[in-house]
Amino acid sequence: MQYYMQERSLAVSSAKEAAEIYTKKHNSFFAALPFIGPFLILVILFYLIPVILTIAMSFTGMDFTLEWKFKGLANYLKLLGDKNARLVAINTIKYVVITLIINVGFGFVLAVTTAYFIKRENMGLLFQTIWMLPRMTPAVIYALLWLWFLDPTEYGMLNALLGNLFGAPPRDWILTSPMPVVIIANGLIGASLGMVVFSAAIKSIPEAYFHAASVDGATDWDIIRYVVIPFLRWPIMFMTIWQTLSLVTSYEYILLITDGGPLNKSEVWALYSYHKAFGSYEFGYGAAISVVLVAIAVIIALIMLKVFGYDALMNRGKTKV
Amino acid sequence: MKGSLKTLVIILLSLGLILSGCGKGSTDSEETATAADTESVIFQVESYGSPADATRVTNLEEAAEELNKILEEKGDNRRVQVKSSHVSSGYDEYNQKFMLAHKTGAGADIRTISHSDVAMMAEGGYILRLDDYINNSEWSKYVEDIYPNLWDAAKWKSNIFGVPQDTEARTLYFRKDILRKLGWSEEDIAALPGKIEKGEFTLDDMTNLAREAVSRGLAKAGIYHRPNNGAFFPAMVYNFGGKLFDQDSNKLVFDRKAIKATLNYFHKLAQVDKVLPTGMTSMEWRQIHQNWVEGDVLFWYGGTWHWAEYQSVEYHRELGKLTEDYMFENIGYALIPAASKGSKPLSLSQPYVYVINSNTKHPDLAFALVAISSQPRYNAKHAVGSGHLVISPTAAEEPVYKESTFLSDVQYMLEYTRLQPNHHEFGKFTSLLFKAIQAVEIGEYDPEKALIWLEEQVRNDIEEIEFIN
Repeated sequence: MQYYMQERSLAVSSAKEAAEIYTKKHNSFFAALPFIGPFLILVILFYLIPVILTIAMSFTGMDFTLEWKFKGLANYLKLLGDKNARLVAINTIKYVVITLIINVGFGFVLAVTTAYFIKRENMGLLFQTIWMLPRMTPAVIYALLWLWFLDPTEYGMLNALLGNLFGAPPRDWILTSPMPVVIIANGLIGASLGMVVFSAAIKSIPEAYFHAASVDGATDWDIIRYVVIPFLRWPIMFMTIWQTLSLVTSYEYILLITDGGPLNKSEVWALYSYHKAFGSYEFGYGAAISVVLVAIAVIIALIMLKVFGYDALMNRGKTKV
Repeated sequence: MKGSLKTLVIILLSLGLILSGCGKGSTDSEETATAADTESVIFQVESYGSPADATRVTNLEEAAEELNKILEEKGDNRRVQVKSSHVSSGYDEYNQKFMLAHKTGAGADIRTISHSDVAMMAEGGYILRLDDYINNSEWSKYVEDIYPNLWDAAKWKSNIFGVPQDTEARTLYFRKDILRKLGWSEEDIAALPGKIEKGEFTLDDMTNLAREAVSRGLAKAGIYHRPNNGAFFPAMVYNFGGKLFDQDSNKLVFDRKAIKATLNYFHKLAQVDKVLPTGMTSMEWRQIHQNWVEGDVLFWYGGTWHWAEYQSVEYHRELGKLTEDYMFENIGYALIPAASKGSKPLSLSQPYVYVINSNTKHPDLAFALVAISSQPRYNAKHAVGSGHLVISPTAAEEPVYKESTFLSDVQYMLEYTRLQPNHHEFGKFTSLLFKAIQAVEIGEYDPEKALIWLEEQVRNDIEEIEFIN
C-alpha cells in the first residue's frame, strides 16, 4: 500500500512536473510571440501565401484574363514537351555554377587582398567600398552601364578602348557572348557580398595565429592556406549555400542586359518563368515553371545542408581561441 | 499567461491597424466628394508614349474644363477633375500594372493603349464596349467624323472598344547631307519620296545606296532600324506580300514565304552587304538617335513621331535639340520602299486609342471627356506637338495642323498604311519574329534555319495560328 502510495505520489508529482514543463513551454512560446509575431506575419504574408498561390496557379490556365481556370497537370505536361526547356535548364546550370565560383572565389580573393594584404585598415575599407558601389546602384542603372560599356559600335567603351589600344574592330559582345557577359556582370556584383562576409571573418581571426605562423617561417601563401582558409570554412560554406539559392532564382540583370537572348542563349529558368508569365501572359504556365524551380532549389538546399553538415554549421561556426 | 495573451492581442490589433492603414482607403479608382450642390468626380487618366506625347493626357485635363461648363449649363451637378500620369518607358509594364489593378476594382479610368491591345483588353473584360456611346449619345457628335479605318483599328469582334486618339506612319528617313556628298542634286533628293511612292526606288536600291555611302566613308552605317521588338518588323512581312491574320477564322497566319523573304532581307543587310550593324538589336535607343541626328547613318526606319522627338530631346551632342529648319535641311522622309520594282510601298500605323476602364463608376462622363478631347483643336494640338497624324478630316483642316509642313507632307502616307491584327496572341508572334530577325542579323542562323526555328517556336507557344505557303 505504502509502495502504491509512493508510486502514486511519484506519478502525481511527475504529472505536476509535466504540467509545469508544459506551462513553461507555452509561457515561453507566448512570451516569444510578441517578438517573432510581426516577422511571422510578414513571412506568412509575403513568403508562404505567395508560394501556396503559385502552386495553386500552376494548375490553372490563367492568362491575360487573370482568371483561375483549373486544368490539372496540363502546364506540367506542357513543360515536359517544351522545346526550350532543355536549353534553358543547361543555361541555368552553367550560369549558377560559373557565377557561384566567381561570387565565392573572387569574393575570397577580394577579402584576402583588402583585409589581409592591405595592412592599413582605412585603405582596405576604401577598396571594399569601391567594390560595394555596384551593389548600392539600382539594378537598372547597373545594367545600363553594362549596355553602354559593351555597346556594339565604336562608341562603346570597351570597343573604343580596344580600338585605340590594339586597333581592334568593334565587336558585339552582348550578342556574340551573352552568357559570359551575364556571368561576369552578376559575378562582379555578387563577389562584393562574399568580400564583406569573408573580410569580417578574416578580421576576427586572432592576430596571434598570424604572428605564430610568421615566427614559424610561413609565407603569405602558407598563412592563407593553413590559417585563413581553415578559419573561413564556415563562412565559405554559408556563402556557397546562400549564393547558390540566390543565383538559381535570380534573373533581373539577365533580363536587363540580354533579355535571355539571342535565341534563348542566356535564358535561365527563373527568367523563362518571368517571360512566360509577364511577356506572354501565360501566368499558369509561368507558375508551373516557378514551382519546378522552387522544388529544385529546395532539393539543392537540402543536399548542401546535408553535405556541409547543418548542425555543425549552426553550432560550431565560432572562432575558438 | 493572461498578461502574455493581453500583450499578444494588443500587438496583433496594433499590427492590424498599421496594415489596414497601409492599404488604400477606397478600392474605387475614382473618388467622389459631395459638396453642397455639386458632386466632384475624379478621373485617373494615364497614357504611354514619348515625352512629346504627354498631350494624350493634358488634352483630357483641358477637355475637363469644357465638359464642366457643359454639365453646368445642362444642370448636371457633377464636375469632373482629372488626375493624369504619362509613362515613357515599359509599355508591357504599363499594361500589366493596369490589369492587376483592375482585378482589385481599381486602375485608371481612362487610358491610351495601342490599338493592337484592344483585343486582349476587350476579351479580358478590362475595357468598356463603346458602340452605344459612339452611335447614340449626346456626345456622339464629337466623334462622328473620325476616319472609318481608325474605327476599324479600335474594334474587336465587330464591336468598338476604343476611341482613336492619334495615328502615325512608319517612315523611311534619309540624310540629305550624305546624299549631297554622294553627288545627288537637290532635285534628285526632292524627287526621292516620289520615286519611292511610285515603286521606282525599291529596298534593293536603298541597300545599294547605303553600301555606296558606307564604302566611300560618308556614313558609318547605311541603315538603322529599331533595336527591339516592334511594329516595324511585321510591316516588313507585309512588304514582302505576307499575310498575318485571317479575318474569317479569326486566327493568326504564319506565311512561310513572306517571312522567309523578310529574314533574307535582314540577313543580307547585316551579313552580306554589311550596311546594318550586326549588333543593331543590342544597341541602346539613345545611341541610335544620337548617331542618326549627328549624321552617321544614311537611312533610318523611324516614325513620324520622331520628327517631334528630335526637336524636343537633346540627342545631338553639339546642337542639342534640333531645330525644324536644320531637320528640313538635312533630313528627308518617305514611305518604306517597295520590295520589288513597280510594287506598292507601304507604311504601318499603330493608332493609339482611348479606352475606358470597365470598373469606372461614371462611364458616361468618362466617354464625354474622351469625346470632347477628340475635337479637332485638341487633336491637332497633340498631332503637331508629337509628330502624329490627326484622326479626322476636320482636324486636318485646323490652321495649326495645316501650318505644319512636315505633317502636311506625310499625310498622304495614310493611304499606304497597314494595321497590325487585333489578336491577343499577336504579341507573342512579333516577339518570336524579332528573335528570328536578330538571329539572322548576328549570323547565328541563315534565313532557312531561322525560319525552321521560328516555326518550331510558334508551334510551341501560339495556339490560334494557321500555317500557309
